[in-house]
Amino acid sequence: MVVKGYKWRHSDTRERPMLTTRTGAVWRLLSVALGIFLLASCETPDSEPIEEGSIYNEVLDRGVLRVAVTTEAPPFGFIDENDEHVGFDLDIARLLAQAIFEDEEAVEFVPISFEARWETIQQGEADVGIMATTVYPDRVQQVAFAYPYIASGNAIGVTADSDMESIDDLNSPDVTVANLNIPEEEERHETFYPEARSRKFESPSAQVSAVLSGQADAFSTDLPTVQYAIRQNEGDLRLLGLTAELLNNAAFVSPSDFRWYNFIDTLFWEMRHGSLYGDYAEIYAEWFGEGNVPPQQPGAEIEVE
Amino acid sequence: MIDILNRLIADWPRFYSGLTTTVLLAAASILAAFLWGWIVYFLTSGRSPILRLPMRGYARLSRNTPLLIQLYFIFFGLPALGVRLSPFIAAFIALSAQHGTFFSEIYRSGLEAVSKRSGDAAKALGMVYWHEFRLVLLPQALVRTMPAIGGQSVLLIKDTSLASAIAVAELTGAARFLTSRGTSAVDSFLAVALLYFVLTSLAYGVVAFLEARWRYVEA
Repeated sequence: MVVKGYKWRHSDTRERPMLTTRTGAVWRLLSVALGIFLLASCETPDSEPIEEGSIYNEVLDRGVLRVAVTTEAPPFGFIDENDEHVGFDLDIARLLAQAIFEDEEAVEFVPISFEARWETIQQGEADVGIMATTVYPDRVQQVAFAYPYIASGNAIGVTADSDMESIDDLNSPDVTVANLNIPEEEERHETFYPEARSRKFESPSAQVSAVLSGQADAFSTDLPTVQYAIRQNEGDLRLLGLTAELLNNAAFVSPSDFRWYNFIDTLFWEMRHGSLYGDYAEIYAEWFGEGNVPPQQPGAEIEVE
Repeated sequence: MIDILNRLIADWPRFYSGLTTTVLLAAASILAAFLWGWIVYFLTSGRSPILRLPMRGYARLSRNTPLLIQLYFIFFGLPALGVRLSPFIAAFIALSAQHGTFFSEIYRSGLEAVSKRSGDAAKALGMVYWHEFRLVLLPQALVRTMPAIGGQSVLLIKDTSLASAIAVAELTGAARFLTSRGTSAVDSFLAVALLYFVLTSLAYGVVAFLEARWRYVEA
């Protein structure tokens, strides 16, 4: 029996219509084209603030600061052995809440992946992002960075028993470097050790695991992260050296709300150099050691231990 | 739509590199999983309990644990036993090993759905088991399981997106790379979704073509 567009076929167990004619193929192609059209017609969210008025007023009315944080970059934000979300960035966020509301608990953490950080701020799902984010010019096109709260040169970590003595030793085809999957790491790899094999991981934890398991000989990431990994794996890892001049990590906010940006920027300046420095230094010492706390004076040199 | 197409064009070298890796990884893994599935099927259905029981345990463990954990185990865990694999090979093994166990169940259901009369007829014609299996049972089972095999292959293609967790520079990793540069995550991931959609549609197309062709032969 033949129905237009369908052909009935027989088997020993069942009977069902089959799309075997040209009409069937056309329908299939149309369904694929429709799928492509639906995907491609998805609108990119507008990067303008979702409401008129400043976030500053919203935050004060709400009484809670919403902060985008990471869970995958120790010591900035991670899940500890007690299954609790902790980190330097979370303590900085509490200090911010203390400064705004005189209540360090008036903060709501919004854990997100690094890929979602720009959109989370642009769409107003968090008021400020504090999540181990280095300031680079191309990122300034997406968000407004506040005054940097931590200097983070790029460093190389290796196993404690590694034969390597300097960054130059990495430049060999026999060496595998665990990099972060970001353009700056790719550039550094090409500049400092182009002969080495590169493996790109999505998080610092994966980089450290690669070195500890023997899948890579060295890992390259922010200096505070390397220092923290060395403290956590005492005797197994050591610092090989720095590959970049000191870079800056900063909190970021919507680029379209100057009042809110100015408010946050001023608070971070106060943390680093002004009235909030004492509390800031205490948090810094807890995570990175007393000897690594940056000096209060602007422009003072920071020594790397 | 314009945003996504612009993103694809502007960063095409990065997307192309990721797409190539994804296609290679998926194609190699589908082929290996297809074959591994038969091996798992025969070993889990065999008469010898020495092979059957451990293989059933392996198949159950593989099917019931997340692929990401298996990827981590193969890449980060095996070096402790002296086995060091490249990220691509580790991802290939994890994908083939897990999806192969799903394929084995598809084969089992296909073979069980074949009418017993076919086997009886083959025996009546004097066929030995291997001939009966190859010439009578297998063709019917494959035709019946083709849609399920297609569906499982598409799942495997989508699972390749986990491989960037162990440093395989595939399509999702390319989108992450672009996002960290400051590119809109929505644009990058929609562009990647579009490429995955085209890829999986092609896979479905191949399966539909084979299904129609083989069913025609069967009829």
